[in-house]
Amino acid sequence: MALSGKLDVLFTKIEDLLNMARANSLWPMTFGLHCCAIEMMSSAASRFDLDRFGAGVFRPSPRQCDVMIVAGTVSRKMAPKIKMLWDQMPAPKYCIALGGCASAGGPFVYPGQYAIVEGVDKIVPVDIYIPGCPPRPEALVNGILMLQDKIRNKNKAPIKLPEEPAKGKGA
Amino acid sequence: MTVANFSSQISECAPSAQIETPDFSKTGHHLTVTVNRDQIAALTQKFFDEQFFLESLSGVDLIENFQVTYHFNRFKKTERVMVRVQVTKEDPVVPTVSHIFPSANWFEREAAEFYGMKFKDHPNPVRLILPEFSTYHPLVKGYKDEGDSAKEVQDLIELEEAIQKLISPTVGQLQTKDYFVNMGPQHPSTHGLLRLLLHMKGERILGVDPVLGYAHRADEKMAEIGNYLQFWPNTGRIDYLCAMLYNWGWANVVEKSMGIEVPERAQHIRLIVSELNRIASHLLWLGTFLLDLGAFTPFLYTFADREKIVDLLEMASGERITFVYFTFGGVLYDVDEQFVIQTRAFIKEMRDHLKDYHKLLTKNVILLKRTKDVGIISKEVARLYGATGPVARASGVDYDIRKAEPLSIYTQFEFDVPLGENGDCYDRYTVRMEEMEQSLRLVEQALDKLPEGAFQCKPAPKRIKPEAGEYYQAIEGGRGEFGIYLVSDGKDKPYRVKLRTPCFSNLSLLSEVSKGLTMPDMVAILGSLDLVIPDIDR
Ligand code: SF4
Repeated sequence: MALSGKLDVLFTKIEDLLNMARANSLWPMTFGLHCCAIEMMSSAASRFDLDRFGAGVFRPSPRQCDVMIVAGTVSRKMAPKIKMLWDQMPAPKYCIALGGCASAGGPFVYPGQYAIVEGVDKIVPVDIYIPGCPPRPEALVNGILMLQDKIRNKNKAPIKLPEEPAKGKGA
Repeated sequence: MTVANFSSQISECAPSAQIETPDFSKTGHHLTVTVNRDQIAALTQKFFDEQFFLESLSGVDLIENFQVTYHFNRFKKTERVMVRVQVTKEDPVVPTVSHIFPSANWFEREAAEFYGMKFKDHPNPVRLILPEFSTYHPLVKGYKDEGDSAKEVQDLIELEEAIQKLISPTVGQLQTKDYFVNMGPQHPSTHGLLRLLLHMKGERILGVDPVLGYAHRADEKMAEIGNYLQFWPNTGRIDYLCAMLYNWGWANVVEKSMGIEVPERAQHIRLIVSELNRIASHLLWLGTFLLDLGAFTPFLYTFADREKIVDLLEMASGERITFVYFTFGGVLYDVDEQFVIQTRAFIKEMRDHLKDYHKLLTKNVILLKRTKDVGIISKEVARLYGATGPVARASGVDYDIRKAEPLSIYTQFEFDVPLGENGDCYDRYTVRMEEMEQSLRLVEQALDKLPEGAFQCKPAPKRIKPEAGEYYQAIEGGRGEFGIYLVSDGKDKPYRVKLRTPCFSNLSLLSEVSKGLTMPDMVAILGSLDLVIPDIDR
């Protein structure tokens, strides 16, 4: 960087501080596509309570959000709208692909299929992929925590995976 | 008059009709009629006059010909007539019946886009589910998408941008005339991917045009691609809020056609899990409906209760929502003593909670003001548009498939079918609240009678291959009649599966009931219809 050493340090610190704030107050978009959306709702509701992690303020307007949780299959008709929603979100913004469908097409992939886009990463950049069909709410919570980790350590090495993978039958 | 002596009248108004009387317990049809296309309108008019409703309309590709299959049925006691019309592929034109049954409007558009048929004199022959400007007909046999999905999406994105540019100059201009408002597909009160084009004049709605297809995942095509077993996962994902019930529909249509006997214990388990699933679905509806009306707290309460059911169902099946718990001839795993004990405890608790809900809500002034006399659906409108389930029952239509055409053991248990009087949003609310109580009653009785024995038929059916023929199975899903029309050619893959889903028909009456209302009322109506969008788009 062309800046002096002193400024550099200061700059990084503010960025870190901001990232910490960002990580701890993620505002996801109210945006359910399919079955996975129900698990997203369950995560936000009484039992799993995403608010504990600062990510419970679901906003219906993309202008007020900073994380898009793509919860379900992306149909070809819907794909342009998702792109549009993503473009409307102010940066910095993050995307979570929730479930098999959003990650890679899930159970709806077969040779010659005409209806879906096989993975939302074909149209928007994805930060975190959560496997499962549908992923359990715990898995979404885990994904949110990983995203927070990623935001905090923006310029550092790849994020550390939790030592033990999340347990659960449905995942 | 019964359907059996209806045949002479059919031949009168359609002289070309060939009438057969298949075995109802096997095929699900009382009568099947084949007519020439020029007589279909007259015949449909006859059914209309005889108080039938149009249950479903599907296209079938028979290689040389196209076939259009109409299912007519009666409320109260099932009397199902299937009418076939065949047309050649060179001249695939069928006269429309949408002027008689408005419900045919959407069905015909769907058949037209998936097969490339034409419905003569159709009022609005544009694509319904597939992208507006696409040209392919995916359900024609042998169709494979050779295109590049990424490219197609790119095209759509460009198209969308072009459209935005076109309409943007009018945005911001003050107009005192009527105008269009777009709602969805990403809108919190459309419960998923529904898009509505509202034609407004001031605050009042002049008309609504739902745009479907944002949740289309080609379930019907997938049914033809895999074998009978491979369709199981899809059944749990069409209406994922009552996956167990849809499992049951698929199980039954195949079991019926192959004559597979299901052991008593398995039937009881099926009933228990299905009714629990229905309660879970209604609870989710209650939470989100009130959320639409502006009350956030009930959402947290209903989800807490729903989680208890989800736990029970997870105990039985290992899954939380998209169940694939049934199998041909039984269920996949047995339930244990612990399940029975916990379900009993849940029933007791839930009864108390239902009382609380009634105390909090049923006489609540805000709820009453928002829902009473809003969105009135008359009995006749319900018939014209083929509405079923709680939506139709709130209008006083006595049609519950658990009574009209009971699946296996429903006849052994006592339960009531709650009916509404006015058909407004409030009645739809009370009907569903009452249904939860009735479902609890059913679960309790089934637990009491739960017999010992096998939970799968022995020996398990090796090859799933129904004989060639056409079968129909209706079940009472959480939102109304879910029908499966299965065409088998005697091979190990289904030849055609048409899914007649309740939300599709229930939504089609929206523009009829919302005329002259205001936008907030519209949201209340949408909530009270209890829509699941992939159930509409499949
Ligand atoms: S991953 Fe599974 S549960 Fe999620 S949207 Fe796809 S099919 Fe539904």
